[in-house]
Amino acid sequence: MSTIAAPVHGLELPGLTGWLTTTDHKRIGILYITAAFAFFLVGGVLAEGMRAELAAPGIQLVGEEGYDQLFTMHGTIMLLLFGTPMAIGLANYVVPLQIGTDEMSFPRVNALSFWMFLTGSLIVMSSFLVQGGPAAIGWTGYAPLSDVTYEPGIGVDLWIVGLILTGLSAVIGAVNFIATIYGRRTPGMTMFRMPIFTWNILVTALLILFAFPVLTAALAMLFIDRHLGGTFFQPSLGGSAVLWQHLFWFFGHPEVYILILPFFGVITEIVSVFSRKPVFGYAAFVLATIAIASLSMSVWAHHMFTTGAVSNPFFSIASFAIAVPTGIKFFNWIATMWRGHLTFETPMLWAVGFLYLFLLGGITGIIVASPALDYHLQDTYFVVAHFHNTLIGGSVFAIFAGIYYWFPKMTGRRLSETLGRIQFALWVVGFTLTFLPQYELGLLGMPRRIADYASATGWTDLNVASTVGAAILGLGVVPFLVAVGEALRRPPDQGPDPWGGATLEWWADSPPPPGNFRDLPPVRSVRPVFDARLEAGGGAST
Amino acid sequence: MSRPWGGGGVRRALAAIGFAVAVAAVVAGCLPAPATEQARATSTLWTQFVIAAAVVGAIVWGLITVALVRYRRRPGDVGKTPPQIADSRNLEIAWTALPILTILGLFGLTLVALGQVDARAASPRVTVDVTAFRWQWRFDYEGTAVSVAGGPDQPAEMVVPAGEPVHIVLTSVDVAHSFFVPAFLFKRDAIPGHPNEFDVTIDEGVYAGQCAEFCGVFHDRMTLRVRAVPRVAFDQWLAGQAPASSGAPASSGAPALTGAPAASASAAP
Repeated sequence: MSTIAAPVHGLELPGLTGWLTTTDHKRIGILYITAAFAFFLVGGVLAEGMRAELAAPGIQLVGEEGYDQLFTMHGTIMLLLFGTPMAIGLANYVVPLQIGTDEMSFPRVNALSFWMFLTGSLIVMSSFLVQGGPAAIGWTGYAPLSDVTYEPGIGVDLWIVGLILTGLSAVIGAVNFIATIYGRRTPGMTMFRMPIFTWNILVTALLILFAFPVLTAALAMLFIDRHLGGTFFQPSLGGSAVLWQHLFWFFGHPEVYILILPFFGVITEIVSVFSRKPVFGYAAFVLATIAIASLSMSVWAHHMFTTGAVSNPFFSIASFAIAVPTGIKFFNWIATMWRGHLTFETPMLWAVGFLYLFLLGGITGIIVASPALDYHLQDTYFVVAHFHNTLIGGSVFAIFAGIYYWFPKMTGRRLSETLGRIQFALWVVGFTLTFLPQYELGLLGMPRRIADYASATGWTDLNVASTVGAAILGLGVVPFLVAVGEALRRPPDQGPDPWGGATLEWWADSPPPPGNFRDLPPVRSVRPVFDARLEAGGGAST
Repeated sequence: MSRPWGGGGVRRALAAIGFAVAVAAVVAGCLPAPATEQARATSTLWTQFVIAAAVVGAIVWGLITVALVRYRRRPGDVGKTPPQIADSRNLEIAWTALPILTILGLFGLTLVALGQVDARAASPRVTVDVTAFRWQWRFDYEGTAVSVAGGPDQPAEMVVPAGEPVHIVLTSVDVAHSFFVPAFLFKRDAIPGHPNEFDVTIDEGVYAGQCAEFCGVFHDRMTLRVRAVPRVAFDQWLAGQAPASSGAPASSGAPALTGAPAASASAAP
């Protein structure tokens, strides 16, 4: 066993000042996760408002304009202020530990990333306080609706400026992750001994680097159109409305993989640990992740099948192709469990939920990737159900899996198993009841982004079911918040490795001190902690 | 160790797939009854996709369930290490090939249906210029002076001959909209500066539709109706329409049509 000297972290100050000035990757990770989760709660409240409005025909609660603001801010918050920073937060905490290092390559840039993200997010949120309220253009901000002619309010400008800042923050964060993963791995940790989660963060960071600058550019162009006499997206002045859709989705589709690849990594780690087996098909997982990321750059126009402006067969087969690496991952997850000794503590419970639910999102993704079917389904509730299926049944279930999994590492305490099971049950029921009816609503032809529908459409019953489901999802957050509060009141009692983990984060103390490791085991495989346990005669099981 | 799923595995798997196909038959029925020639191709494709989805789902959900049940840790397993198998080249090849074959098949079916849905008729006798505006529709019949426009709480109705191809030219004068009639299993965007065209052959009947691309505050009120009538009735209807009040139909590129114009003089009852 080699011993490394813990570096001096004299700049970490006590109390709130410490949190505000920290450059420690673990504290920044926790800041990211906490802020992202707060935005998740806000976005969830907005969703409950939308579901309440849709529970009956007629305008009852928030009005048409209010409804449009709700879905614009719900989408923006969930994707850009919750999903992306949650991935970055988990990565911030876990990646340096998994590669056996003490810090990110650029700790102060890391702090800058977080504070820039928070500033941008608060600018976006501040649009709730200005006259006219937030933007009402959808999170997709389609031109020319987003032009000043149709949406003169300052809410759109705050949306643009805030998102430019969060986008820049994501880009410098990505640079930091790439530098850290390439440059700071502990001796013995070759690329092909990195944990799958770290691999997926590396690929995600590359994807951020390719995708986010395009969003930043598009937003800057939109701002120029709105205030500086530009005509990029103004068809009546020689610009192109379709151009915005190309730019937006050239960012937007990689973005949905930015929102799932890190969580594929979380699931891979958890399935392996709770099956007490190595990841099956390690190389296949890595190659599949790279394939998904590459393909995700050439499928953007499947969001535009109904525009009549793109080659539908090309974007269809490219989108279908993503099913291949995703299918490979599914089979490898199953093979990882096969002949294992499975136990179902809360992290594994959420991972199992992910496997069942995400599959449905993948299958319906194939359906909407067929242009002929998409002609019917595009912009209906079928698409809404599909992407919530991947983003909740996929990403959010994996986020909770990851939080239950790494919470003992972050705090030295385990979250209550009982409350975790209650939350899981509520979320499985709530998710199913919310989104299965939405698939059917979409098939029947209910468009998304409408505040009202006539009772003659016959859509009421399915909408009521969906609203009840959304209420159950909302209720399901309560046991989680109680569990976190309850755990943090207990004294820390967890050792380095409560689950029988295999990767280096389970070698450090829980929580790890500044500098992370007192010593490190030799790294001779993907599972150095497992190897060390075996050598010590401990066996694989705990 | 007993294997609860040991015997009759193949029979069980076939039963599961049979059940999945039965479920697929039910799900396939969730689509509105197709009301155009093109929609029947889409409807067939939907059924094919749902069957494929059900088979894939039965296999993968089935394998997950088997793994969870059969390989859960038993009391006797505690302290033991399961076999540390980490890869199999043959399996990786198999489960790479299977999805490839599946998507190639589905892509082929898609191309067939797409060819039918996107097909252009040789010489449609009716061309309707559909103009989307915030927040209604205008239908101009080419070669005539007939123009039908909707207004607030007065959705426009497009009258067309049933059973023959109708050519639609779709434009917008302000923001992006989308022309969507669920019974046609079809929509096409109306984008300013980017006209779209398609042909559709509609069964006799009245069909509800609405804008499917978010276009601003009254997006939800941008509904429309399509009434397909026999050719004779269509000719009579067309002849009975007074010319549009402004003479020739407005050019579809006119930039200034905004707000809430009143229904035109020739609006259908």
